[in-house]
Amino acid sequence: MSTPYEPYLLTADGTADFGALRRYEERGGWAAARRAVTEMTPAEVIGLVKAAGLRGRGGAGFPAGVKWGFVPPPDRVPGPRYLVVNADESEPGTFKDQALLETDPHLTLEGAVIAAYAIGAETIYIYIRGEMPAEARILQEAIHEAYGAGHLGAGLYDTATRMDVTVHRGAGAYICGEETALLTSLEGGRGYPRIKPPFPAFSGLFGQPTIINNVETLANVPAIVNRGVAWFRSMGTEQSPGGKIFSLSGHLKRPGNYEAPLGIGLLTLLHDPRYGAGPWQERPFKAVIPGGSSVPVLRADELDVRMDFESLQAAGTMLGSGGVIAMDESVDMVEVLYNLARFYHHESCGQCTPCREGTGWTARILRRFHENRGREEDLALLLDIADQMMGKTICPLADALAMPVKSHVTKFPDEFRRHMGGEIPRYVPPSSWAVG
Amino acid sequence: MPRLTINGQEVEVPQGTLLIEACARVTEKPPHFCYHPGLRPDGNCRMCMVKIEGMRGVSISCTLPAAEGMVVSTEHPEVLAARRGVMEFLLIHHPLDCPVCDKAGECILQDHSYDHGRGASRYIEPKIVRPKRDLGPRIALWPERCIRCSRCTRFLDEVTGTSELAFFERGDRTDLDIFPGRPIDNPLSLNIVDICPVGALISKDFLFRARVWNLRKKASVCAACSRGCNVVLESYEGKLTRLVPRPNPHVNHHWMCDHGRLSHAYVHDPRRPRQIVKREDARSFNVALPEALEAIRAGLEAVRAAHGAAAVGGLVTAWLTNEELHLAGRLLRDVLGARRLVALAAPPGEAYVAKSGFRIAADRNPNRAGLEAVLGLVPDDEAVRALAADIETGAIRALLVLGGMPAPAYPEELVAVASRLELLVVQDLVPSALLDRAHIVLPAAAAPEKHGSFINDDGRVQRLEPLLVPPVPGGDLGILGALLRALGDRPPGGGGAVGVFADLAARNERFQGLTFQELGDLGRPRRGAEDRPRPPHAAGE
Ligand SMILES: Cc1cc2nc3c(=O)[nH]c(=O)nc-3n(C[C@H](O)[C@H](O)[C@H](O)COP(=O)(O)O)c2cc1C
Ligand code: SF4
Ligand code: SF4
Ligand code: SF4
Ligand code: FES
Repeated sequence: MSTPYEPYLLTADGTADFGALRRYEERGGWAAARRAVTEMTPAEVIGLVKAAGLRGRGGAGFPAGVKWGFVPPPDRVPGPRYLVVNADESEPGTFKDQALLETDPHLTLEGAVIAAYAIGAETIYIYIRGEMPAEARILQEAIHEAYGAGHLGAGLYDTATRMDVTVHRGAGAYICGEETALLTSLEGGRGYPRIKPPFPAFSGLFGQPTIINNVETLANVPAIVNRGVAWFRSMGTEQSPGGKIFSLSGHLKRPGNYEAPLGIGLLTLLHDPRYGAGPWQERPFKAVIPGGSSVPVLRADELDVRMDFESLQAAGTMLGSGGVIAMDESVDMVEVLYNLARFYHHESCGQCTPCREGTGWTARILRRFHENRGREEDLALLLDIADQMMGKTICPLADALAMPVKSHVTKFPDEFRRHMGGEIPRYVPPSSWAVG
Repeated sequence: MPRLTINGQEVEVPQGTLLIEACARVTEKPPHFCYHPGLRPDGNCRMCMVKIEGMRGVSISCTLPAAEGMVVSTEHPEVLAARRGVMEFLLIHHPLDCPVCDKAGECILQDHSYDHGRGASRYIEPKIVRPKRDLGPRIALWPERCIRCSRCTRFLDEVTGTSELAFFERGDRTDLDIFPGRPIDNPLSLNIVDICPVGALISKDFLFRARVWNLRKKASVCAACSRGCNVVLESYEGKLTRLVPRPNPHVNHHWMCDHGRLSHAYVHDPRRPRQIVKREDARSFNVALPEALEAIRAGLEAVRAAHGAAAVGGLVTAWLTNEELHLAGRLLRDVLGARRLVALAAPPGEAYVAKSGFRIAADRNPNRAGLEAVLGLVPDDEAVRALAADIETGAIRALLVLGGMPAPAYPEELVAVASRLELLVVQDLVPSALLDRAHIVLPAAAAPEKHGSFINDDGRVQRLEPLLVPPVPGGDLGILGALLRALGDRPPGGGGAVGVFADLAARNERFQGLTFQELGDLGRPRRGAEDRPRPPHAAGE
């Protein structure tokens, strides 16, 4: 990593037509798709992405090439295959996919075409968060351009390949970002996650083999085809190769999206003038959530970690979606957790017992803390409820609250004790929905 | 055939067996709410968890097929803790109104709460309150009791295909409801009340009528159509209070229809004939059985002496059991040598085939197949009219009408000539114009009062067990036996259902090889009929 990192995901220069097809092609865009479709077999594309070690950027970090390889051959499961682009980005603290789609829609489209070709799909669905109407319009425009230029449609690059793209707008549920809930929603059903197995690679959309990838995951693919495995692996770490967009938010001088190699120090992201540029108003950090709202929080004394899948796991937290939420000393960790609990309570699909009941119970207890009516025994109770949720549900949404509960309560118990007396002024929640 | 180890015991199960069912082979079935063997597994309640060696945490057993070499524990400490957690979660908003809940006593939430719950709740926050509401003509919802197991929605999606119920809202606000103006009103709707693991879905018919632990129960079959769904008859204080389906893979799987449950009002109808009546010179007397028998004997003798044996006719219905039909045949054909023996059928109802293949037969005569197998009789309006004509001409002077049916269906022609008869004996379940003209009225026993067997429209011989006491002790079988004795004969096999059935099996090749005991709870095909479980999800059966 001696050579300076050169961004390849978020490269927009601020000009108004940066994302237009003409500008994208000038930068060498769509060459990778053309090459993959005309010069490579699907197996070669999968082999390439496997060798590059590209891991999913949607949260779980599953190796993309390996996942593509799970799609069964047509003689085992006949019928269509689908590639689904997960653009539902709703995790609090994460706003990278939105930036990619807004500034450079062809990049994700091209990655999706390559992935679809690799798995033998002729249909791509892009499930985009309902609250992103502008991005949906931009994407639709780009798709229109791509059809016109022969990057989509029948007889792709004069081969027998056909490729169609449909954009589907979500209706405002966080759970529809979970891949199987997304599929059910796409099929017209209520956004309920499905029990796995069967995994979508075998039986996904309309019961057919389906691969779901995050926007940023797919945005990595064209560069891998263009520049190769060695280039990709020259960035990041052995187990987390490549670059990553980190969404920095909270008490920072320069919040925003920053592209950096995986493995970069969290302190660098927070303090380096090229990234977060240090705490806003110079108040020291109290805590940082390193990977989107669902992951365990880090205390100020735990911030010396590297931002890659394995290092954060060793530090007891997760890289998740790469949304870094920095909080300074003015922040009340009880209010943070109450806010998170309200979010997950609101967003639980309600299908399975521990999540449906556990998120609400947790939120109601924290509401009492918020009203300074906490009890000492509530701390153990909160941890117990988290244990009763963790790993016992259909999808990981329950864990996404249980993990923050555990880390907040165990790392900041005294803050919770301050809410047992009545000394904290009453705080009026900003939104209109109420617990209970 | 995967072999696996459950609680230290090795077991081999058929390929595709769900782990929860595999567990049930060696130990108690893991506690569960959302799993139901008649529905596709959904895995939402998270109660059926087990520990599988080599897998992280606990796993639910209702969606996983048992696999070769699995090592499973149903009592691992992690499993016990997880169950306790689920129980606690399910109860935090539950109203715990068992004292006024219809389901109390047969509620899985209540049972599992005793076995797997904590004694006291740690929940001190406000509970979610939801008013109860109407879901249709037969069903109401107590939404606070609902544990969102989706058994009801899956039933309406998979079995009837009518999908009236759905979940609205999200998280713990999730609310079960119908769509505006679309009540639940399908022919199988009350099954969702049975399969609701709690008292959320309530049958208006059964509401507040009994505490279930006070119910007397008997395994029998429904007599409302010729399918013969297997049921449990339930009574409270001597009154038939509820019918619930009894699983039989050959007939009804886990279900029965609303018509079958609700068409038994005639049993306790105050107008139902319950006394033996003798009519003389336009006056009627309640009499004891021996006096009625003597009157019948004397009447028959007079007719036979004056007009010959052929002046006697008989009419039977498909509400008689095989055993009763056997005795009726012996009485009318062998002893009396009747000129005509005809069968009368109830008019057909509406046939129905559910999405899952569950059938309601248009034929509402429960033992039509028995009529044919035992007596070789097919109900035939022509034959009944011919009987009426014989009465008109005086060729027939004495008529025995046996069996009855819940709604009278005697043709006008027959009623019109009834007064010409010198002896008219009518046995029935309901009042009718013919009954009014009878010299001797014999109360018939209703199906829930009968011991015997019916044959359903697949040729399956199935047992009826008496839950209620018939108006005449001994029921129709007793009356027929006594009649035979009065006429100098003797009912075969001692006159009880078991003995008569044995005689039938010895004489009638369609019953060859069967014994009453061996019919068991699930029945047996009569000779020549197919014995094949019907797949639950094969539509258009
Ligand atoms: C509750 C929940 C919400 C999720 N939301 C998103 C999302 O908005 N976008 C996304 O890409 N992945 C989301 N995921 C992860 C997806 O389920 C899935 O792992 C991902 O889309 C796979 O893509 P990748 O392998 O390219 O990362 C979510 C997961 C959970 C459990
Ligand atoms: S864990 Fe929560 S969000 Fe996921 S399926 Fe269960 S109830 Fe729904
Ligand atoms: S009403 Fe009963 S069957 Fe339906 S979801 Fe609720 S608890 Fe389950
Ligand atoms: S289908 Fe026929 S036998 Fe079955 S419950 Fe209904 S009426 Fe009774
Ligand atoms: S019975 Fe298995 S999850 Fe409900």
